[in-house]
Amino acid sequence: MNFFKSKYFYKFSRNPLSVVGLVIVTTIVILAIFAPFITPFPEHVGPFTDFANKSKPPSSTYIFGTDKIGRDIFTRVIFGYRISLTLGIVVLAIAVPIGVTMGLCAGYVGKKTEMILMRITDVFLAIPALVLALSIIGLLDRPNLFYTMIAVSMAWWPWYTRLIYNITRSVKTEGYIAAAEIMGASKLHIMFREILPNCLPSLLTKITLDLGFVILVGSSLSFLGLGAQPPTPDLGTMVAKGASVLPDTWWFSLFPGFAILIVVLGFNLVGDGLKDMFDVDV
Amino acid sequence: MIKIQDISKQFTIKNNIVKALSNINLEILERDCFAIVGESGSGKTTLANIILGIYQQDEGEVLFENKILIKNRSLQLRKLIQFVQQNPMSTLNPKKTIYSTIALPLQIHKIVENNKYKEKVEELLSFVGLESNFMDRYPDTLSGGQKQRVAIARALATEPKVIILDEPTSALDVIVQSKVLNLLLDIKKKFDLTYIFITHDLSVVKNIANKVVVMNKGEIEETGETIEIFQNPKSEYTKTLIRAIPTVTDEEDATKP
Repeated sequence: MNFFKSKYFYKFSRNPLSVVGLVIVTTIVILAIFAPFITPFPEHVGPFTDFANKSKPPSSTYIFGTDKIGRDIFTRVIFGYRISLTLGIVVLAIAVPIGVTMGLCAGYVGKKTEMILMRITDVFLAIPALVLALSIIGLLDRPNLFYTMIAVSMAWWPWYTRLIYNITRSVKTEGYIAAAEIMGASKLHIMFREILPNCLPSLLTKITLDLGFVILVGSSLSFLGLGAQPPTPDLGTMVAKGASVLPDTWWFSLFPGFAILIVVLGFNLVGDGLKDMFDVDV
Repeated sequence: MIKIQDISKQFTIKNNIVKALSNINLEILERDCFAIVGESGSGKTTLANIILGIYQQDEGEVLFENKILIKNRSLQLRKLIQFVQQNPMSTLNPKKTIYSTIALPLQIHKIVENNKYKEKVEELLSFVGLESNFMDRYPDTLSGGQKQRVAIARALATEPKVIILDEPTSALDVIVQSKVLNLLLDIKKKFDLTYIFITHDLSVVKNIANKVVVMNKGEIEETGETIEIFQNPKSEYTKTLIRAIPTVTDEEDATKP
């Protein structure tokens, strides 16, 4: 079956904004993957200085200008996307399996398991993600990107538990679950092979929407100095560094800030499109 | 074959105790088509669920070939009693192909060698009158009657001795209903099966069952041979049920008690 002719793609493309989102996300991903070949000054990513060209406003050589030690901001923004996307993917790669497993167990097994798992989830949900991540990083050693990823994951899994729990509760009353139980299928089989496939549309939609939000939270943390440490180019850090010299050298923080905006917007538009396509509510 | 001795079951719903079954005694013999009849809430589905191992009874015992059946039973015993349910819309997982739906019981009970699943599924589909090209299809491309046929094929996959049919035709239109009933009768003969047929539709019972138990509010009103009960019902409740069968001609109407 040709996907581009299917009813799914028709539903997705009915909203032109989701197609715009898809174009944005694809472009950013390609830019990030091929960053060393696309960017004009890949050597500006590391500990590089060029005081002759420091704090240059945007020009044809440096389209986003240069920072106060002469590094090309465009190059650093594109490499910054690598960090942001890695953060988003790693965080969700940790949070989603935890959340999904907890949600399936709580929803399907029920009784005491449900009570315990869902109350733990509620405790985590009661604290805002950013505050929770901040305090977890505070508990860990000195800040670095890896700790940020762990901290954001810890703040993120409960949302998946909630989502999967709610779907599991409605799916488990379906006849095919009873049929599998009567047949003698194991609990694991029922949870992961019968119920989980029915959660996938909602799950995929939420993951897409969340990629944007996770990047935003990650950038907020690095804005506060808790993300990737210099000289690694991180969008949040770049905004923070530039903020002190606003509005004179406005290009220091404007372009990295805009870059964050665009990637979050892109994932949100695609997520909304998926929501319409799968007809789900997350 | 199946002996039900003094079964009682109650549910607690918001601190109210609801008696679903009280002191049920029944004996189902091999090759019976045993109909359990009653209105909604009469306890017929609860009884089926106890036999299937979904619920545990509060009191009494269920014996299957002199072995006691409890809720957590062995795979060996699960295999022998299978189930076809009422709602064709919910009986098949919408995310699984017909092949993987029917292959699941084969895998769980190791009915055939790993490399023979495909042939076996094809064979099972042919028993219920479906072609092998159904294997790669998803349930949303099937009609209600076809879904019910797939459910029957899935039940047959474990090579059971007893199949419990919970209103298998009530959600189907009349023509499909009669086709599915005929299919069930053919299969019963072919595989020497015992049926427990749960229904509220007495006209179906008359055509398919050889024994009937009439249930009302969790108790047995009357039980016996189908012909006996239809010609000579003893309890008032059974008479009311039989009078409620819709008829077309006066002659048919005259046969009612």
